[in-house]
Amino acid sequence: MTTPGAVPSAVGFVDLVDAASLQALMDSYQKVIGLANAVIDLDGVVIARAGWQDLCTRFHRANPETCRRCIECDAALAAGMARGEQFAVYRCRNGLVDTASPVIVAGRHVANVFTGQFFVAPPDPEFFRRQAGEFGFDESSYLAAVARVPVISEARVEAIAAVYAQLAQVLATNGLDRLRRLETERRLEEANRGLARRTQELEAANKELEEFSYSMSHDMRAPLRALDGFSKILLEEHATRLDAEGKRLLNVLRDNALRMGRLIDDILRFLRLGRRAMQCGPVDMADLAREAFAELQPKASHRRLNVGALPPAWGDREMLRQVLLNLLSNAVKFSAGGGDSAIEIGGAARPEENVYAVTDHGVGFDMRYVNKLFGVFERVHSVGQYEGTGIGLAIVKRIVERHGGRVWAEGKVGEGATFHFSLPQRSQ
Amino acid sequence: MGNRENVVEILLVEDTEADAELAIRALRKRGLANHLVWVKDGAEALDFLFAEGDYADRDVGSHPKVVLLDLRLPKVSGIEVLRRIKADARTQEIPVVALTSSKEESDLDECYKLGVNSYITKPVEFEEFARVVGELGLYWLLVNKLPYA
Repeated sequence: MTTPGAVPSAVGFVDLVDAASLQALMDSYQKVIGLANAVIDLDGVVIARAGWQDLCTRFHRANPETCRRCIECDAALAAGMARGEQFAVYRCRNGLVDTASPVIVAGRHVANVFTGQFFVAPPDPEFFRRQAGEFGFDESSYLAAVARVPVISEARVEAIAAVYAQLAQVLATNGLDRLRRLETERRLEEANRGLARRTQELEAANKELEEFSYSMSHDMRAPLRALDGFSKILLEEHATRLDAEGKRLLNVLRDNALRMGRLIDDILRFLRLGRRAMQCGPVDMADLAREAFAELQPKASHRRLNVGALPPAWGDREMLRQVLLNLLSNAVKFSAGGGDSAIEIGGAARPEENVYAVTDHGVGFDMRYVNKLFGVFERVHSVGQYEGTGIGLAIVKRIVERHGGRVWAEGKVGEGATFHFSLPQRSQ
Repeated sequence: MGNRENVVEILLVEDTEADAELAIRALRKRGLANHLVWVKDGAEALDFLFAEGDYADRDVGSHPKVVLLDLRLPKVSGIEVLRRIKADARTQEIPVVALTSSKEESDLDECYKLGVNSYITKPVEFEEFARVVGELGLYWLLVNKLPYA
């Protein structure tokens, strides 16, 4: 409903103008032209007034009967304005003349400027003498007040009223600009407060996560240490009372304790990745790929790495090394025993991002499970089949996403897999 | 606790009984557990070191050669115990080795700020744990020369 820049409907004329400045202007102008004036908003609130005649303030508006007539007169004028009249002259029932002009701001009628309490022709003394008698006014002071009321031509009245209306409009328009600015500032401030609150919430959530990882690291590692330690002691100090099967079972127990220890270490490593500050710079991805592959030796000694044209990246070298290490390590792991096929890493520079891909010709995977690949501890192969905890690709995804990139994969059972990731160009 | 007349060489502050037992076994294997006192929380560690409470008859000047201090302890935390040891002229020379499962960097930073002498992250593997505990015991008991030794 509210269009940008429109006057909010709850805002009245009084909110738009500086009432004190308006009052000062009305005072000055009244002194120049000698006519009473008033600026009254649509609720009847007098924003500014000047030079009201004694005849009105001391007599007509002081007597309940004549005051009622004054109010009727004000209301009739205001009603005319509400009907969209540009200018109205009203002969007041107490014998004077009033005029009104609407003040329209941003298309909305917000107030009226009145001028009045004058005669457009010399007053008839008989009418006022009668009126003094009727309402019990002191005749001589009443007639003296009548004599002080100015007599001016109707054309001049209209011109003067137009000046008042324009003046009020200028003030209100300035006021409207001020209001819009204030409104914009208020919204900005509100948005900032919301942002600050959200940041605080996120920081709190992050802290909670850190505390959780701290407790987990402490509390879960201790029992594992005991499991491993005491089964080792059992094997060493009570070996004579254990047969081969007993020893095998104990070793299964120890292996699993160690495996759980690795899982916990992995998840902590994963959690820490989200917190570590990134140190970005230019990264030679071809160099990094060769470096990561060298680190996989001797496990990868039977594999060859073909490094294609890799566009240089902009990112955290240490983190990107981890990405390549994990992808290459997977490629080696899942192409074990697959002949002498090479692992390939290639790339392409696109206008907005660089795309990199690691391809192996190993066991591949079923595309039906592609969505599980990048989840934490999600595995496409069973635990006994290939070593690893299932965190490697989740770490790849987390690092790439912290860089503002994406990860995706394609594979076919028995034919191999390709893992892609993109990194935005530096300007992005 | 025993050994009150003898010089205590190692004060082990560890609330996890299994960890304490593994540590004591590892030290014993190297013949380093003869003069060892094991306390289970930070408050008892402070009583021992400052000769208060149950340890009021100890000589506060009789220092252990090393304190093996777990950081997460009941009552008074390991960090607080470390702070008190290093803040007091009577005890600040005692070498303190922080023992913890945590790899959180904030702990490490805090410990070094407080003047810890060494910091060991307890590994899950017992053999590694035994090796680390045994070696740090050897180092502090046999190699390191203390100002008051």
